[in-house]
Amino acid sequence: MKLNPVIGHLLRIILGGLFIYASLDSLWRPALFARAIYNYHLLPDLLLHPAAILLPWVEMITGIMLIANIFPRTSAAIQMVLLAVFTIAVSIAVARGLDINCGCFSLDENGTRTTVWKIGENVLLTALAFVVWFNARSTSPGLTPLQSMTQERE
Amino acid sequence: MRRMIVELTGIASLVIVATLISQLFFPNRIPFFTKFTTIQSDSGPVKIPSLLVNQVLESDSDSEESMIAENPAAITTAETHEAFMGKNAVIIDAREYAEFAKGHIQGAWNIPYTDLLLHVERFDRLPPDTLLITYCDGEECLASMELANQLAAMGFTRVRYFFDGWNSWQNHQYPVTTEATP
Repeated sequence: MKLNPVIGHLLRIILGGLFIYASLDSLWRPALFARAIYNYHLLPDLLLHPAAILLPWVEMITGIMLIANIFPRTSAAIQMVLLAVFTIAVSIAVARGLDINCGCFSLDENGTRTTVWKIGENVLLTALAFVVWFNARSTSPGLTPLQSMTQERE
Repeated sequence: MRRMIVELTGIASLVIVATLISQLFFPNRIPFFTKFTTIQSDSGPVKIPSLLVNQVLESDSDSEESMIAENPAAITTAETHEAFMGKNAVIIDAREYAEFAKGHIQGAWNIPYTDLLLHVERFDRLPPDTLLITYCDGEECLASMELANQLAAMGFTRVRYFFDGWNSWQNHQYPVTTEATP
């Protein structure tokens, strides 16, 4: 299942970019993100603020790490776990008949809702994270994507 | 395995540093630890996260009191019924139109909290000290609090959210209707 290195790097950058994009609104509006988390009724209230503050930073930093090709395997593994958790949360919300903003990319009221389509989207993203994790080499910090591509060809 | 632990530690350190910086400088930051507000429901005092009832979230003070919203404030089923009987309040259903059509408190307006701007002219003729009571399904929903926050921000000084909501109103067998309110 090893991919062509160019495609591997492309997928890694896409995944990293998606996570950075997904974190922006939640970083800027943590109160709204906390409300989005609350709407799922899954997390104890005590953890509401810590989750709303920490989660976007985990997304942002692993996204940057993936794009910069620093610790790509671990970053992809973290994102895979996050996506699996998000998928379970959305699935539970759908099963309970909750029509809420999923808190995924945009926190506006017209943002993405918790639907079966959203579950499918999350499953695809989890698969993408798995492919990136599987193909990512443990690289030394500071190695640019170009350098690591050259290493792979050698 | 060892390498992965080292990498995880590195990422965790960066997350902690970024969080610390954001907690110091971000203009929209919220307190790291969840703060709670005690509100009165039918079953007694209930603690809910303060940010659900108060738009003003950031406080340099650690005092929990500073987070408590005086307006809007929670109201029980009995108090809502009393206001309903006294006809001295405007009761507003914050649920979606389809839910409202299935049944609602007699005389209630239907203003989903996401659509307040579409109905804003209805409030033009109301004095700012009008008692406004918002409700949605019950304690599991946030729509009544969201709408109450918006109404308070519009300048209404006596905004209340009926915390136990529609479910409690039905359980008490108080007057309901499916007819649209003019």
